[in-house]
Parts: sequence; C-alpha cells; structure tokens
Amino acid sequence: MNEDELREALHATAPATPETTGWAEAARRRSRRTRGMLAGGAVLVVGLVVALAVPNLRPGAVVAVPAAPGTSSAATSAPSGETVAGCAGYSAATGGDIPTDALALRLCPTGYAALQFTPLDALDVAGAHSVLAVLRQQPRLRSNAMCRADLGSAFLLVAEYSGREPVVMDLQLYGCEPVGTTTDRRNGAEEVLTAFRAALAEQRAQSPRSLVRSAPLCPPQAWEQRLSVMPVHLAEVTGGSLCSYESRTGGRLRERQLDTDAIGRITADLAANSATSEPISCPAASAGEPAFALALTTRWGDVLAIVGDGCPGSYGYQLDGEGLRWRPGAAVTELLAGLGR
Amino acid sequence: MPGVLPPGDFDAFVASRAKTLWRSAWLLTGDHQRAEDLVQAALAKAYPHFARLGSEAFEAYLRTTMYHTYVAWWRRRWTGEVPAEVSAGTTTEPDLALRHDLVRALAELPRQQRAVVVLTYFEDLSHPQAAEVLGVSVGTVKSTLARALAKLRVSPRLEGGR
Repeated sequence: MNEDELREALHATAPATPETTGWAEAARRRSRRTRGMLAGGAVLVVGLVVALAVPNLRPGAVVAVPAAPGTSSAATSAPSGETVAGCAGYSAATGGDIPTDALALRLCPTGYAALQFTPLDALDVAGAHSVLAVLRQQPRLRSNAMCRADLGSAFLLVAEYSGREPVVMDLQLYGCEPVGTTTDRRNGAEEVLTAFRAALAEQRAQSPRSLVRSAPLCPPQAWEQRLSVMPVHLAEVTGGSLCSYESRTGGRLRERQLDTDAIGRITADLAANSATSEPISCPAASAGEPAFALALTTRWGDVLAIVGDGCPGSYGYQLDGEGLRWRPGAAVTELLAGLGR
Repeated sequence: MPGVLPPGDFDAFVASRAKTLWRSAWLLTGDHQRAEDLVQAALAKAYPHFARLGSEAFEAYLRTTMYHTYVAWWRRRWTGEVPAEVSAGTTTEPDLALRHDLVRALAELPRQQRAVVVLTYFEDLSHPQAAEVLGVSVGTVKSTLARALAKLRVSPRLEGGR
C-alpha cells in the first residue's frame, strides 16, 4: 500500500457519522463539572505551592507551578494567554483603505496564535511606512476566491495614530494568506510578514532598548511551545529556563532559571552539536516519563524553544527556519541533569 | 465585541464540525463509542476557551486538544483495545475487507504513530502543521511517520499489494 492508497483508504474507511444533537449541551455540562472539581482542588494546590515557593523567590530558585492533574490538562492548561503588550484592545479587522503610514505598526497574534506567540515590539514610523508599502503592492484578493480553511497562525496588523482610530488589518498565514482590511483584502500575508521581520530587525539594530519579560518562559505542558515571530540567533541569547515536566502529558512543571555560565555553555554546545534534523529511530518513549525543554530568550523577549524530540538525549529546535537536532555533549548533558534534579 | 461569541454559536459550531471531528476520532480509536467519548471529552475541555478564541481558532485548539487527549489517555483507558467495527463479521466484499484490515493495522500502531498517520493522510496536514497539533518537532513527525509507514508496509493485514 503506497501513500496515495493509504490516503484514499482512510477517507473511504470512516463509517457513517452518528447524530450529534445534544453534544454541545453535554460538553457544557461536562465542562462545568470538571471545572468545579478542579477549582476545589486548585485552592488546595495553590495554597500549598505558595507556602512552598515564597521562601524560595530568589534568582535561580526552583518554583513549582501547578498543572491540572491527569487528562484535564489540555483545557485548563491552554497556553497561558500571556498579554501581548499593546495588543489587548484589538480583536478584529476594521474596514477602509490600507493606510500608507502610521505612527506605529503592531503585529498582534490572535486566536490560538495569541496563546503561543511571545510579545513583540511595535514598528516605528519608518518601519511602518516600509511594511505598508509592501502590503499595498500585494494583489487584491478576489471576493470569490476559494481559500482553504486550514490550521495556521493568524495575526492582526494594527496601524496606530495619534488622535484618530487605528486601522486594524488581518494577516493570516493559511488559506489564501489574506492580509488587509475587511474591505481591501490582499493576497500576500507571508510577504508582508517577511517585510515586518526585516523592518523590526533594522529598528532593533539601531536601538539600545530591550524588553523585559515578566511571564514564565516555560509553557504549562511539555507538548506546548512558545513561538517567536522573529528568528532567534544563538549569539543573541541572554537568558533562559530549564522546563522540567513530571510527565509528557501532564503533572507538575518546574521552571528553573539558567545563570549566565549555564547559558554560555548551552549555547556553545548547541552551536557545536546540532545538525539538520533527519528522521531517526529510537524506542517509543513512555507518556509517563519526565520531559525536559529549554526556553532560551533574547533581550527582546523572543524565545527559542528546544524540546525533546522523543528520542533519549536528543532535542529539536528551529533556527533560521531550519529544523535542527541537538545531541548535547557529555558536559552539558551532565549540567542539564543536575539542573533538572 | 467580535471576539466574544454567544453560547448559541457553540451549538452551531458543534453542529457543523462535530461529525468531521468524530471521523478523525473514529480512525484513531476504531470504535463508535470511544470516538464519541473522545470528541465529547475534547469539547468539554476546550469549551471554556470558545468565547475567547472564536470559532476558527477554536477548531484548531479543539483538534489539538482532541489529539493530545487521545495520546494522553492510553495508559488510563482504552488499553487492550482491538478496534475493528467496520464489519461485525467477516466479509467477502473487497472494499469493506480492506477497510476492516486497515483499521486493524492502524490499531496495531502505537498511538503517536496512529495520530501522525491520521493527521497526515486523513486530515491532510503538512508535517509542520501536524507537528503543531501534536506539540512535537517536525523531525519527530517525520521519523514517527516513517516508522508508522514501515510497519504498515509489512503488516500481514495489508499484504497482497493493497
């Protein structure tokens, strides 16, 4: 059976679907019951964690973060919904022409992307002008275009002004990749995002500012990843955390801040022992095994997530758009093991 | 406020999307009742986020929740399963026999491999998209899929060039 035959067979295999009337109400009831039980448990857990953690609030201390137990984790641990600075007031695109200029241009992740992407600084006048010029060069999207509704990241591109309403535009990295206002939609979200990245990189290069992250770096669950719009280079890494999860599918998370020495050793080892990610084989890992991840950050708050890829001693990450596999050397393996205890 | 949807929209969302999700769930579990249970569990977990996400982003979140629930439940429930309900008995009809064998062959794959196969060949997601749903790296998706396909190719249930 080849891949095409497998695809065809899967589509032909599923039997007639059942009647789904009442599923919505059943889900609401089940959700209320689960949340009620969790709320009761959470009071106890939070109290215990506060009692344990408060004496240890110092740099480098290990702080235990409670996660919902067992299989309840997925909903209650939806990525924490970290507020993206400056984006809180925007929820949907507006109508009107695509502007030519703005005092500031923000890229605000929306929907599920808002739960994944780390906050981003806004472009100033010059950067906004260059990105909006690229946007206006993109072809108009036909009103009858057939676009695939697919998984992908969605953003709002917000042009801000002094003393007048902002212009809020969609930027969706799926389907027809629309970008623009509700009345002037163009096809070319990827091109506009590329222009935004270039303009922000140039702006950052000319600025001594930095962003200070206040939110935890580690996502609540081992299978989640913090993502950054801007590519992260190893030379830019200034901080980070080791994220230790009780199991791959739930349990407690321990986030341990890495000191400067550890950051230096880890980034040097990443540079020395990473290779293009090719498929490898290893025994299937148990879902109950502990899981580890690294979340490295730059002074701009961008995060480079390095996650276990299911094979012992092997981690995966993305650098400059390329998937890489990291097999830490003996010294760093020992360092990580020590930090994870 | 566009980001906040009334409760009625959740009913409409479930009415329009639950059957599609159930088909994926059925391929994962191979069983009518377990598929319904999986979709219901995912809906219940994801429901509190519906108003905040809106229906489109909610579907992506719901799908992620469903696959994680499926992979996570393997130790607690559904152990020792032998899903094969395409046909209640034996059949001589070729297509039905193939479906029967395919479901049994899928059931013999580890859960993560089964999930990657369904995401890739039934939901038609790319490797990066499947990686996003499962919360693993693209390399892991590729290696998991390679192992799954290798097993399916040598499965005695799918022998005979099917």
